[in-house]
Amino acid sequence: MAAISLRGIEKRYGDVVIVKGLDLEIKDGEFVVLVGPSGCGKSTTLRMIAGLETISAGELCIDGQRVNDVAPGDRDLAMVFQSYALYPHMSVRENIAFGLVVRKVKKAEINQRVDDAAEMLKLSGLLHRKPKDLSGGQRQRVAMARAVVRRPRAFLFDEPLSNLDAKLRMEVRAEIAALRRRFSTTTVYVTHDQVEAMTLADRVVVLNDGVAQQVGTPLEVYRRPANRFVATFLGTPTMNVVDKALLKVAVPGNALHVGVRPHDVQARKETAGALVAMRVEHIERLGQESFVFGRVGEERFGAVVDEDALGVLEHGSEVGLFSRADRLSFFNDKGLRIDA
Amino acid sequence: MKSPSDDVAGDPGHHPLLGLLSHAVLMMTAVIVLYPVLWVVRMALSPTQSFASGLSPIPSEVTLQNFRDVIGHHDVAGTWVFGHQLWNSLVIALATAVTGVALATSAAYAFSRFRFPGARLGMSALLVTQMFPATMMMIPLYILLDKLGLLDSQFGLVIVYATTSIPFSTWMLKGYFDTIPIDLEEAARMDGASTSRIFFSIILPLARPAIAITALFSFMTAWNEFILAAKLMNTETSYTLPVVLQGYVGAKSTSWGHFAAGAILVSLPVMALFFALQKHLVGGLTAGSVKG
Repeated sequence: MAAISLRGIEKRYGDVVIVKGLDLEIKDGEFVVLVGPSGCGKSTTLRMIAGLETISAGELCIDGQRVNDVAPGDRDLAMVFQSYALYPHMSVRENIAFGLVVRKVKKAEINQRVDDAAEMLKLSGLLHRKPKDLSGGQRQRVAMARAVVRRPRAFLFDEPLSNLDAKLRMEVRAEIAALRRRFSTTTVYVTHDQVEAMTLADRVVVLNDGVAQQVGTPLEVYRRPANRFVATFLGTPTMNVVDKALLKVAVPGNALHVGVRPHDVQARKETAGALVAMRVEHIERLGQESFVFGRVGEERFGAVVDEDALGVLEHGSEVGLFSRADRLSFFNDKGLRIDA
Repeated sequence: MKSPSDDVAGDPGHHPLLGLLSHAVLMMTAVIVLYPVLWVVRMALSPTQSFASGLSPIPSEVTLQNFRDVIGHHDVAGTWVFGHQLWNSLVIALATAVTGVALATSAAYAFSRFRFPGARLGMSALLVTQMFPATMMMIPLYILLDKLGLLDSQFGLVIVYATTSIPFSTWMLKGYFDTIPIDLEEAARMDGASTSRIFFSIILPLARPAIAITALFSFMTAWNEFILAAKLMNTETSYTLPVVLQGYVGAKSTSWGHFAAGAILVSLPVMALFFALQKHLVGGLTAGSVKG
């Protein structure tokens, strides 16, 4: 259990600044997800917390204690790597036990704790196997067992699901959520996958170019993105952002652009009273729902369409686009959010 | 039932004539390679000491007398000279392998993982030492060992051999260490392992194929080396086997039978080692593809 504070954390390689003065207070027991495009500094930040990268400037505290110069092994954090990083020459049992053996925990206790962790992660029958004889999902679970068995102050996850296929990813995601509920240990989780960010996090930190763009609950960053980057980075399909002049809508103050998620826009056959009319260029039928895409001005624009009610649309059909006023976001000339 | 290979019958790579041809070429190559070896075997098994003539590698008369002479060689005082010499060779080669591998693994690990001033220069320097022929080092080595009082001593010869095998071993091992994912070490560091713990518990077990190959190389270098051993060792009982072999080739006459028998005896342990380590050797040569 631990609170982790990042105060003005910076990472520089020569003249290149990877992480620029990051401030973040992670509360005890909180699940924080760092999300952003590749190269945004999220992994570097996690590695600085782990102690695998030196901190160029700023202060990192765990439970109020400055740990900038504390060795990784002495920070009492456990990390799950993207590559799993299982020791290939050791059995599953030895892999899970390694951290305890190094710390000279008594043998009987090691066995007990390894058995517990293995049972929790459904690895009991695999303890004698070598990592090469395991499937991707099993390897992932061994990596998690290795972290859990140590009962660390915090868990660090570095893109743990990116080597798994879509179906497994969902299963392991659920397992991570279950672990989290069971231990309520502080967790820092790095991913570029917004679904993981939305489903797992208490709070999401959206990073770009080494700067935190927004910190908030998943719904906050989804509903009220702080700037255009966050607005377009999170959510599938991407949020529509167009010049205010193109939409029939009242905008607050000095807003220049209007953003609205395709899920919040309905396409209808009538155009009277619509935000704007659009010619359908492309239809995506996903089964549960369908989207239509076209252009508003030069920008690509998406909307939900209910073809059951509307009848089948064709390419080139003209549709009117409607949305609730409270689902619109407004951005100024710097791309920052403006509230109505 | 149809076997999977039936499906590729039309594949030109599997044409029966081509298969025949490649087998013929391989057999030819095997004969060319084995012929001289068989000749040595023939000389060793022949009762005469003359240089065998004739094309056939099959001896007309078979005897083990040459082997008996070589193995049973005693000096005038009744000391079993061959026993001493075999022991020398074994001790020196094993000690060279152990010393060389121990020093080369730690050096290679440092070169592979740590950033320190002179790391690149150090690796190049090791390479440069390989460019000088052993004979060139003869005089300085002789003087050094003389000053240290290590002439005619097994220990002295081990030091000399180890220094010649370490550069190659270090390069070989560094190359292998570079292929071991850094994630493994980082995971171990998160688990609280010290650098030495990581080295002994993670790196060394994973580098076993490369270590086997460098150990074998060091052993063979020391086992087969002749020039330095001939100059630095002075008494018959401290000779290594290659020096003994040379002794059968005299200025006036050469006992080819003894020479051949000795040559076979000297190569047996190396062959045995090769067979024993074969599995590791193949693993070591395909270093990059070994991933858990």
